[in-house]
Amino acid sequence: MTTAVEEHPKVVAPAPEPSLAGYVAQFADVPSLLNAAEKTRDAGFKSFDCYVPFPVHGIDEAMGIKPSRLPFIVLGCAFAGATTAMALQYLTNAFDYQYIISGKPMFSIPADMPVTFELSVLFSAFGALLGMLALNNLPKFYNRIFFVDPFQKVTTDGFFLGIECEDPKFHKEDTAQFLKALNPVRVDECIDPNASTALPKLLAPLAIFLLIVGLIPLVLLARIRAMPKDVPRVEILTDMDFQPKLKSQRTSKMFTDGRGMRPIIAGTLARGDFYEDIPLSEGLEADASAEIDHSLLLPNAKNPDGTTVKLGDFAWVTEIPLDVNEELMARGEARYNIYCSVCHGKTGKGDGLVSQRAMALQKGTPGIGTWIKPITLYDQPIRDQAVGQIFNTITHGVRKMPGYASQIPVEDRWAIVLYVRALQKAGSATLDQLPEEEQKRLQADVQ
Amino acid sequence: MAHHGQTIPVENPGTLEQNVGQLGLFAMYAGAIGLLIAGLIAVTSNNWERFQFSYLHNLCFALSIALGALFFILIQHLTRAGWSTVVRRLAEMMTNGIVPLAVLFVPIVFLLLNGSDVLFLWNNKELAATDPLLIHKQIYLNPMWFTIRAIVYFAFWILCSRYYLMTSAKQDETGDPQLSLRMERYSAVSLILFALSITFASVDWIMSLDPRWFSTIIGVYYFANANVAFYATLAIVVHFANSKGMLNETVNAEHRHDIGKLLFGFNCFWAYIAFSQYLLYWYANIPEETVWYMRRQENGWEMVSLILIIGHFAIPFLGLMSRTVKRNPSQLFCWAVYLLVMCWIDLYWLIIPEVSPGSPAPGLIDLGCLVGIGGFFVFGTVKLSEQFTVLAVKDPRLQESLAFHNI
Repeated sequence: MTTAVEEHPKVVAPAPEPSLAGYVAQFADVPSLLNAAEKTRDAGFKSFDCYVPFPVHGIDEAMGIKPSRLPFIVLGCAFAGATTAMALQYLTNAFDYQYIISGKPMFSIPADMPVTFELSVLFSAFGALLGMLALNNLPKFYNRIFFVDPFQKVTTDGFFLGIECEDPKFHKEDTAQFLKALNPVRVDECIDPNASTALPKLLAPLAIFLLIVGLIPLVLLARIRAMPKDVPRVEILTDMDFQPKLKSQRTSKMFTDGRGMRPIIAGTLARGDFYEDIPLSEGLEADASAEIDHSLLLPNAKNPDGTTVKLGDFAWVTEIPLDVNEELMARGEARYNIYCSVCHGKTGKGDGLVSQRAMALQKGTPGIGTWIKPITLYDQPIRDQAVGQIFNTITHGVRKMPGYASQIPVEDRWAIVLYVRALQKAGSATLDQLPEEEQKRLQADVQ
Repeated sequence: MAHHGQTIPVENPGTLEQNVGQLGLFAMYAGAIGLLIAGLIAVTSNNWERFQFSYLHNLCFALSIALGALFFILIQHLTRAGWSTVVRRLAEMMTNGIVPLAVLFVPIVFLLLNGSDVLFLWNNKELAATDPLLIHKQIYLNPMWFTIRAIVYFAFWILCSRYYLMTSAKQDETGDPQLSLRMERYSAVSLILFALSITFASVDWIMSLDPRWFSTIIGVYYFANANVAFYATLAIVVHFANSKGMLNETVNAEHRHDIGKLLFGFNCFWAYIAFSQYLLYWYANIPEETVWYMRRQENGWEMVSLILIIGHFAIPFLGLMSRTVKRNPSQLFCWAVYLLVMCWIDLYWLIIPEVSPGSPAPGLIDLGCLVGIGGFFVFGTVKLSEQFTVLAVKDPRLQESLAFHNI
């Protein structure tokens, strides 16, 4: 602005007159300051204060200051914190959104204690800090005592006592005399320049302007989110809604054929499969397996000419393709008792509980019943089967029996085969095959 | 308002004997009569088990006061505390009570070594050999090792407390500040040993009453209780001393205020520790841990638990909070007596459910044991402290203590 502006005469407030705001006395050491504070207190002054570089024990008593009200503020805040915490937990856990956690009560006082304690402490801390600031009239941006020159020593080695002019007992001459009688180092007048303490005129419009400017983006966002549109809304917080991952049954822009779900590459084997080891995984001899139509191995399969498949004719393995030992036998017994004994019975006789119940249910209705009693495992036809065929039966099932391939892993199926062989041996044993003591015991039992 | 730079004249208040007269003798008679009556009732009503548990309970209670005093002395030296010098000698005398308690502990050890499993179930050979939990604990919980540990605890406590008492008494004659420095130097290591001994003693004498249960915080729990019991006792002792015209010039409202503050603070600490133990056990809901609390939540014991929550924490929390209460001699005295009773109930709640899970009512046996053990405790304390002055008259920090002012 270089153009001259014509000045208009304005009504100007009278220039501020400096006035006496009080007296500040400096003392040499703590005892003389304490002594002066006591004297000032006893003289009946109320509006005076001491200024020291470090806390002085007993100064509040010397000045006649009552104990602080801060503890009560803190106590009130602590109770407010406890109440808030309890109410918050009650509303969230027991009222608004009930959620059972391991069968515990919705509202359990012991469980709420930690949060209650923390919030009480938090509110107390806030109460202590803010209450201290409020009681001390802080923050204070301006204090007239700083216009007293020697007062700068208050942060190093100066001990000051100031009496303010607001005190009803304050008197221009008498108070100065009174202070001088207290044996101070020096007494200074505190002159308040009474400079205007009004804020700059521009400050309020500027603050309002900045506030409005700061609100613009928020308003725009709110408008965008609230307006009807035919494209997706602006997401302020996307919350991982849009991820560059393939979802099932969707097209993909990444591949030329557009398929999101990729076909398996030829020759891929699933982990843990036994395609390599034919005898182990199918119970068939390896070279025979390649020529067989595997659909014929399923239960009730028919040959192309309509005749029933004779499973016994296939080239089954006759040896269990695993190390046969006690461990495998024990495993086989355990698995057999879990999966097989419910129908076949613990001994393989076909008297499992399921079988017994089914027989009992269809007792009164001859001819209607569809339950076929499981075959006795130590009958001759089963004993004549190769281990591979028994394995195949467990895998795919036979007649009413479902296949167990999905439930029992391959090694466990072989373990069951081994145990079935043991049951067959036990079920068809004759007396002379037993050890001698057993023979004697059994004969004694018979007699 | 003390005037700075001037020494405050101290009158020698004389020895304990000159001040209390026949108190020790009276306490001895009370102790003998109390134990005799409790024993007679136990024999006639065939309640020998309850007598043993009650005996242990009151022994732990008296011990908690003496151990609190020992901790107080160690902490004052460690922190170079000035305010507490006027009451420190009283605490030093209280630690003398550990000696009669060590003597009173002998029957417990004697019974244990003779194979009694009334108090300590783990001493049952058959059970310890078959119970899957106790088999592994036998390495720690066996009578021989228990006895050795008890001897070590008592030896350390007695040696430590005697050292501090004797050194302080020597200072009464010489006023040598070097002695204060030496006591300060030993206080840190003594505190570590004290923490270990009080923790393991709590484990041995309180926690192992239910040998299948365990709590890692039991030592701190007993320690917190010991502090409350001690500060309450200190306030009571100061009150009686003042009413007898003793220490009137030296112990004033400022010191009472601080004793009250510590009493209040440690009582909150006790509540915090008690609740920490309860919350973790009760809320984790593991049967082998909650069984201990179950025992204290049925058959009327839930009333005792509630008395502890409300009476040991909530009421004194509000009652002792005010500055005026702490500075007023008779009000502080009332709260101290009240809290001492609460400490007794707290230990009752820790120990007695193991023998009487069906009924929480205290009986004449408990009263007899309290008077008995308490009497011998007071007798031993007074007898062993008779020749000492009741004030550390030449302690270098005495002036600071006399001029002490709360902000």
